[in-house]
Amino acid sequence: MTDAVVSLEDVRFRYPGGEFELELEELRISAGEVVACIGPSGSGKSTLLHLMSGILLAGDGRVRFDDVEWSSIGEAERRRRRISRIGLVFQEFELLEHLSVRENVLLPYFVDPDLVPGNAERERVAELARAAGLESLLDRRPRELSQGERQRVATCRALVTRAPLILGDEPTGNLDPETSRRVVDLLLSDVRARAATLVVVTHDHSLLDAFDRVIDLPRIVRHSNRGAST
Amino acid sequence: MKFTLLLAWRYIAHHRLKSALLVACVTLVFLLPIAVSRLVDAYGANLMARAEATPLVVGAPGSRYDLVLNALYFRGRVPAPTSRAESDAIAESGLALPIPLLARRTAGGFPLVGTSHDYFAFRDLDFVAGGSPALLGEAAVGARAANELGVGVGDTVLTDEGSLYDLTLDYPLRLRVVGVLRETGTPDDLAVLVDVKTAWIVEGIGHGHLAAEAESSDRILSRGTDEVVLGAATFEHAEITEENIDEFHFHGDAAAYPLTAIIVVPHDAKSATILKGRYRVSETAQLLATTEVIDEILGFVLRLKRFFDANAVLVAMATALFLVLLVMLSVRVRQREIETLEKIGCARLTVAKILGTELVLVVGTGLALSLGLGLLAARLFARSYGFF
Repeated sequence: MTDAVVSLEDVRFRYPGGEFELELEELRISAGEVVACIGPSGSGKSTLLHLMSGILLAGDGRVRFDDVEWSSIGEAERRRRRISRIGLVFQEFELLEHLSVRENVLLPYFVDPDLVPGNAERERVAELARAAGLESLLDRRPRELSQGERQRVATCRALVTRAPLILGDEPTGNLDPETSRRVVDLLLSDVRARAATLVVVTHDHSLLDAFDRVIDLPRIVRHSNRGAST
Repeated sequence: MKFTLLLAWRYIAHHRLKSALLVACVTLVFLLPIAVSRLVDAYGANLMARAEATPLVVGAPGSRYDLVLNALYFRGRVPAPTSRAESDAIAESGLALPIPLLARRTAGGFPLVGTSHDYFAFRDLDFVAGGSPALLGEAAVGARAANELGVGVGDTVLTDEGSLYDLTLDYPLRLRVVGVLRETGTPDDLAVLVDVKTAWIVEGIGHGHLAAEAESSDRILSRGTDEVVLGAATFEHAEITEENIDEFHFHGDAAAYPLTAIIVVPHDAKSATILKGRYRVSETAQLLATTEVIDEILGFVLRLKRFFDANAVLVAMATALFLVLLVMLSVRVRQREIETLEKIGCARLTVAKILGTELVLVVGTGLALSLGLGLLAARLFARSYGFF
């Protein structure tokens, strides 16, 4: 047992057939920690989040989440753990256009047979919508929303299951400074209230003061990149 | 499952036009085969039921199909005529009850069927109003014919001429409707039934006019000791009434009066066998077991249907391949959406279930529509052609 929610040791990862290779000696993120990762484009920020969430498996080394090494469990179990215990926010929001805002927020419950939305979950959606200022937009479609509103919906989707680990892949990358601050505040207020762990990769240095720890990726990650993108 | 269905339905509803096009495509592919299959089944069942209710038919030698179809449905090509003598011979044999049929003309656009009173009992025909025709010039009208003609008891129906410009044809006869039949779902619904003598009058074998003594002299061409020859200007009655019914009469050899068919109702199985034996060697008439002839017709129809079915299977396979291609393209177009689902932890099986449910809903709706519309089209087509 360790006190880290996520830990990476002697990790080496290369995309199949790709030129990009990431090497990382050690990274440990403790429970309740709020961490920002910064680094230039191509430094492996998204790859790192994908390794943490078990979307990608490291070729060498160990990536653990909740004391379980991702490579030691099967694909189905990795997905099951991810949907119930990790919330993901993407730069491009990735909302389903044919679902309403409410349904997009509840999406993890719709696609996992183990998660059944009841009254508590509906109340959770209402609570997140209030916090995100989306109360009046719950029945709208994503195309009817602004960029900032869409990202707040995507953030609520990541938070709805009360997952102990929230990962943000440049969640403010497409937003203006004011909206970026609002999205980060939404993430931080919920995560801190639940003592959950938050890891956000970002370019936006103006937001870093809100985080407990800032990791400068180029300092801990060695990578070679002869053309491939992360 | 509930949420899989919800997600699938939301996608379909969001892409209404695309979904509607796919549903229409599936509907059109299956509509015709379903309608044809249903129609052929109904056609076969109907033909066979009518044939089983009319086991034996006698008629002149010639096309067996024309004879049976005319005797059962009063439609199609008119068979060569047999004679009243044939009917009398069957009656005199004591082996069967003959029911004469003469169905070569129409009245109000519907087959005019000359027959005997026995026909109504044989077919178990019931009346919603009035009764069977007893006198010359009286008619009983089938339920749908009465409805379409808008006639009831006390109204009249005119017989039709074959050609407006053929001056040699007889004048139309005005028939008095004395009965309207209850709907039976058989060709009787679309027929105008009269006594066979009335049908002979319609065919010009009998007619009614003033007695020669009462005719004006300019219409009498010659007067012999035994006969009077009247000119073409002689006025013939166009309607048979109580006042003129006694002036109607027939010319020629009564035994030779034509019939298109004779329904034969044997008194028992032995009588039927004897009759079949007699007609096997007859050169003037043929006796047909209607079910055998209908079997032959259905055999031909089913061979055609098999060809059609094979074609339908090929079209269905082509559609299935087209749908596979469409699903593959759809998966590519929706790759990002699928990746998002997979990234948040959705199982591949769940993604497949969502896509599969969408396909099942679209194809299922198309099939349900093609089934409903196919059955409806078959029914409408069957009704318009007198099959039920």
